[in-house]
Amino acid sequence: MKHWLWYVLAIAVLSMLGFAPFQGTDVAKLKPVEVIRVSTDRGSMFVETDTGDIGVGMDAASAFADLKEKASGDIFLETADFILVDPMLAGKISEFSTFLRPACSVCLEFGDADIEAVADFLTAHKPELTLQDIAAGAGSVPALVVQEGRMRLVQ
Amino acid sequence: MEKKENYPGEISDENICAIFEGAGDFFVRKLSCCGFILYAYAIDGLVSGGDISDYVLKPIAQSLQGDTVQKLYDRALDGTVYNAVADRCADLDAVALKLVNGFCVVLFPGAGAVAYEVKTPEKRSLSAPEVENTVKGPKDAFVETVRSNTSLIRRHLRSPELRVFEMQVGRRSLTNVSVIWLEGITNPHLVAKMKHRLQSIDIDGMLSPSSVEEYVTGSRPTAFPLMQYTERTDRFCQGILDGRVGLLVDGLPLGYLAPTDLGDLMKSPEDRGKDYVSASAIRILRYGAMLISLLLPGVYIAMATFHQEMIPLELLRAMIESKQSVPFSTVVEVLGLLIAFELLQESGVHLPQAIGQSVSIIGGIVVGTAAVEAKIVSPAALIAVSIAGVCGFVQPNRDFAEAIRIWRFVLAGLGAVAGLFGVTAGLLMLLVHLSGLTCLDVPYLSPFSRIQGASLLRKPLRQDTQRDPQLRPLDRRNQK
Repeated sequence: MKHWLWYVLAIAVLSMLGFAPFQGTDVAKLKPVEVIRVSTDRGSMFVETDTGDIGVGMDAASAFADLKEKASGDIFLETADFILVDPMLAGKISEFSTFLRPACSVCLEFGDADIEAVADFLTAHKPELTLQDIAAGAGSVPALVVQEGRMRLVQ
Repeated sequence: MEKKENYPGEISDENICAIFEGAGDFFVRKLSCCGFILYAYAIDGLVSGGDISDYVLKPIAQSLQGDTVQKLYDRALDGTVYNAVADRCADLDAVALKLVNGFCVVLFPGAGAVAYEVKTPEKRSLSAPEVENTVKGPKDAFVETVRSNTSLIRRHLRSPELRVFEMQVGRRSLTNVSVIWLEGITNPHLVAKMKHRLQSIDIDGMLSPSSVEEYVTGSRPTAFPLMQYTERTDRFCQGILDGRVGLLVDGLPLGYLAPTDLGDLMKSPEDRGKDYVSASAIRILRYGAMLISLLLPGVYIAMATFHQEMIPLELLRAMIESKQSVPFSTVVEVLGLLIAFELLQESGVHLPQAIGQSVSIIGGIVVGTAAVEAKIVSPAALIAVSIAGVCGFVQPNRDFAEAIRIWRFVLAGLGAVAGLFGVTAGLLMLLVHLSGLTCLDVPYLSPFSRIQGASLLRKPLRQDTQRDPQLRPLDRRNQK
């Protein structure tokens, strides 16, 4: 028992000094993301979140890495419910499943939706296709059409 | 074991008075009987003055006749001095022991001394158990007087095979200790082991429960109780009937039962007051509560710090939102709340009951609510710690619940350091620790070692025909 106490004490000291092999992030520091928009312009890929953070890169990996690096705080993508994808990137949707959870719903975005307001609309209308479905090769991707500020989901 | 003589020398007035020299409550009465001088000794407060007059002095003055001191002594022993108990004192040690146990010792100079039992009837009357509440069971609980306790046991277990072995423990306190078992059921090895442990105790005083538990079980480095205590006579007697060894200590309103395993500590005497379906369901609930009490703070810290992806989304968002204005990390929050909870409990124990309840209400509800509203702690952390605390109160044995409280801190610390990996490692440590514990050679985890999962539940009494085989009882069957 005494040996155990020494081990526990050593681990606690290491942890307090920041040398522990396990580094956690307190839940309070997380910036939970609900909606992600992925777009492209002049060969670059842009990843924008409803928390107001943006990442840029030549591909999905670098764009998401840039997003995490530049974000003010620890951006937490595991809470993302919806991903809005530029129709020009429709062929690359399966790549996003590496960074987002499989149950994240996918829409192709036609028009320019207000990213902070779109979550309520999508929560109410529930796009049926998820990243997991796309990885399994099922169904066609729903479209979010924005005309004159009004949104419409075409399943 | 050779008996150590504390007071050498012959039994004489000088030697007896020398033992109690300076003791204000010790008194000597010189008696004249048939022309010879006798001496009566007693300790005021331990004896009844009326009983000494009626059952010692009066018969000596009126009935005792003889032409030598030896004849007076012999007749005093054979019943002329009518008293229920008349013991011959072999040496000065016996005289001293009888006096401190409420006897009146009459010295017949040159012949010997006789001790008559004239104990004062002053003692706490029987009352209902205060800690182990009873709904349907008997309401008589143990008191501080060991003889009252043995009489209570005899009233529940009228078997002539009930054995009570008495001895004194403690060089200074001379505490009367009784080992109780049922001949023909309890394994003699268990009884012998218990007696040996008691005989090997050489301390000044055996006055507190911890001195009983630590000396009898061997001061193991564990927070888990290795002896079961109860203030309920029905529970004690059931333990004796099961083939366990009982221990009563004068001055403690408790009965101890050994051996003990984890299964015994999870049983409540109320289980036998209910039908087996309800009792089994409640017992499962108790095990669940134990796990929640042990794990919830650690798992909460681990998930909030390392494994946020495992938390359901809506809950996670609510947690993050509620944590935004809280200045402390989850680890500090939960550990702080656990410490505050312990402080509240401790203050409740030391305060009078009425004030203790007020402190609990103020501390638990008012301060808790205020802390959440002031955004010092998040509601989720408060709920996690509160649920763990409440689940701890479900355990029938307080010592066991306290051990769980200590390990709850350990697991919370490990969860803070290494997440669920740490909690799992801590659980394995706990399992190894519990596996190494034994009480009178019975493993602590023995209820889980058998392939009898149902033994954790309360069996229908008609099917509960066998005593626990781990106790190796002489008679395995407890009914036809």
